[in-house]
Amino acid sequence: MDPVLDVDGLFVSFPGHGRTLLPAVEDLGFAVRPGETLAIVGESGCGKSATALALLGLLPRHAVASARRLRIAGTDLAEADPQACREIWRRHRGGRIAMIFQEPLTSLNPVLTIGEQVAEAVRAHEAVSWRAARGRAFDLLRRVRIPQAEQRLDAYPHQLSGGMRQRVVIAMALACRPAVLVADEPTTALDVTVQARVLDLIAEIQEETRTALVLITHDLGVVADRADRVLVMYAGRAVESRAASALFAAPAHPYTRALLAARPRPGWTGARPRLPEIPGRVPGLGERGAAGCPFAPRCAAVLPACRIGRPDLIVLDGGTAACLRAGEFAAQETPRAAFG
Amino acid sequence: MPPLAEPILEVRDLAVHFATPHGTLRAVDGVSLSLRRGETLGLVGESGCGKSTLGRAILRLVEPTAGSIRLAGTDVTGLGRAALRPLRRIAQMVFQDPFASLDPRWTIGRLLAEPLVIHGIGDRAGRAARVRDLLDRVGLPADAAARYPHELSGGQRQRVGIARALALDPRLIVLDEAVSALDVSVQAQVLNLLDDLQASLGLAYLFISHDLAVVDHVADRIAVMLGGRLVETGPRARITARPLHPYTQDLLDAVPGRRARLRDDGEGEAVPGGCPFAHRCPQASARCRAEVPMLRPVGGEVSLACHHVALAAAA
Repeated sequence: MDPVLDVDGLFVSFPGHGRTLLPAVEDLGFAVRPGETLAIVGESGCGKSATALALLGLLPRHAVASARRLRIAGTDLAEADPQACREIWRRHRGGRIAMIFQEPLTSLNPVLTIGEQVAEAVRAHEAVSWRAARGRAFDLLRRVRIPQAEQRLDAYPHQLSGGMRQRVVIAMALACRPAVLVADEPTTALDVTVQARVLDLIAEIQEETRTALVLITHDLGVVADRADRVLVMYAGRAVESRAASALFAAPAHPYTRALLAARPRPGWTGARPRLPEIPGRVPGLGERGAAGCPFAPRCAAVLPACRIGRPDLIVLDGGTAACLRAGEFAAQETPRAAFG
Repeated sequence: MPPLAEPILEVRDLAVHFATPHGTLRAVDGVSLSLRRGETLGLVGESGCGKSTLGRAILRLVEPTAGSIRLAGTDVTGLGRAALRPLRRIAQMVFQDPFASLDPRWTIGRLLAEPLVIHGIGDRAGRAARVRDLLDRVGLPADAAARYPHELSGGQRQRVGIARALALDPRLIVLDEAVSALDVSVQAQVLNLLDDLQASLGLAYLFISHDLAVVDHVADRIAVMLGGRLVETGPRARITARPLHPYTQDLLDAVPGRRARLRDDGEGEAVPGGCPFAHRCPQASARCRAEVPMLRPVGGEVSLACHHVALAAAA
C-alpha cells in the first residue's frame, strides 16, 4: 500500500541573532502507510515537535521550512507555492491530517461546552445542521468511551478530568476521519493507567479507520508498546529509522542504545544499580552545524572518522541508521534483552 | 538528639479534608507511615489520589485536619509558625518545577542563599562559600551562581531545586514528581545524583511519583495511594514482583513497555464509605462498596487494604 504520508528532505530553521538561521530539523525523511504507527522519539530539542508542526503547516510565521517531498493523502505540498500551501493545509487540517497536543486544555475553549466544541469540529468539515452535529458529537463521545456522554455534552472542560479531556480532543480530531493523525505527547500529562487506556483507544480506532498515526513521544516504553516503525531523532536529525521489532532487538545507533540503557530497569536485586548516563548535553540550536556526527562529542563508541564527516545512512535489518558502526551494533544482542 | 532507631518521620492517622461547594473533599484520609534515616519511601498513585497533599501536609504546607506528624521525634502537628521554623531545617521539599514559586529576576546564587538568610545562618562570605559548596554538590559549575533561572536547562534547574533543598542540611527531603518532567538521559543523571547525596548525607527521601518504573528504581519501600488512603505498602521488590492489591496490579500493567492491555475501567465514581477502588475493581463485592478495608499486615512486611486479597492471604 502506498504511504499516506510521505516526507523527504524536510528542513526547518528558526532565525537566530543577526541574519543567521538556526537548524531545528535537517534533512528528515519518513513515510507512514494507512493503519501504521510511526513513533518519532527523542529528547527535548531534537526537533520532533517542530517536525509535527511542519506536517500540519502550523509552524510559527518566522520559521523557515522546506522539503523535497511532503505528500499528505496524495497531495504534494512541496510542489505548491507558499500561498497554495496555506490553502491546501487549511482544507486538509482536520479532514486529511489532524493533530492532538500534549495538554488537552490548550485545544479546548474554556467557555464552550464539550458538546458545542465537538459539534463545531464536525461542522467545520461537513455541512450538517447543529442538531445533527450534536448527535454526531454524542456518538463520538461514546466512541471514545466517555461515561455519561449525554450529560457530558453540556459540561465545560474544567469539569472533566485530564483523561476525559484528552478523550474529547481525540473525539474532535477523529470527527472527520483524518487519513493521518499526528499526536504530540498525547498522554504525557495523563496518569499511567489513563495513558494506557487512551493509547488503547487510539489503537482501536486506528484499526477500524486505518488512520496513519505519527506518535511523537519521549517515552521509549510507549514506543515499544505501540509503534510499528520508530524514528529516533537527535539534534534535528534522524539517527535511526527502523521497524520497532528490529530496533528494540538490536539498536544500531549508539544514541538509541544509550537512551534505552538510561531508563530505570525494573526488577533489580542487590545493590541499587547506577543508571548509565549520557555525558554532556544536547547541542543547542546555535551549536550545530559542525562537521561530523552530531552525537560524536557524547558517544562512547566514537571513532576519529566520526568527527570528520556526517555519517551516511546505513541500510540494516528493518531500516537505516546514521552511524559508521551501525552494522556492528545491529549485529549485537541488545544491552537489555527484555525491554520494559 | 533522638536515638538513631527512632524514625526521622512518623505519620499517624493523618487526614487533610477540604471544604468544597460539593461537600468535604477527603484528600488524605487516615494515612500512617514512617521513614528511617537514609531510607527512601516511594509514594505512588494517580493524580488526585492525595499523594502531593500528603507530602505538603508532612511539611505543614497545608494544615492537617486530624492525626499527627512527628519529625525527628518532635510532634509538629500543632506547632505555630515560629515554633515550626527550626523544624523546617529538618525537612525540605523539591517540586516538579522548582522555579514555579521563585522570583525569575533573582540569580541562582541569591536563590540558594535565601534559605540561609531567612534562618540567619552565616555572614555574607560564609553564605557565598556555602552556595559554591551546594553548586558543587549537585554537579553545577561555580559560575552558575551568577546566572538566571531562564538560562538553565531543565536538568540544571532541577539540580538547583535540589541544591536549595540541601541548603539547610535537612535530614528528610520530600520530592514531589521531581524527575517527572525531565528527559530520559537527564532523569538518569538526576536519579544518580539523588542516590549519591543520600549515600553521602544519610538523607531520607519521600519520593512522590506517578511513575512506578522510576519509583521501583529509587525506593527501598513503596506505598501505593488511592482515594486518600494507602492501599498497599511493603518492600520495593515485593510490591513490584508480587503486587497483591488489584490497583497495584493495574499500575504495574500500565507501566509502558509491558505490552499489557488493560481491561476497561468501570464507569462512575468511588462510593463514599467503601473501598476507593471498588468501582474499578473486577473482584468488588457488596462488602467492598459498604466497608472501607483497613490497611493490615499480611506477612513479609507487606500491608494491604483489600477485603478479598486479605482473605485469600489469610486462608
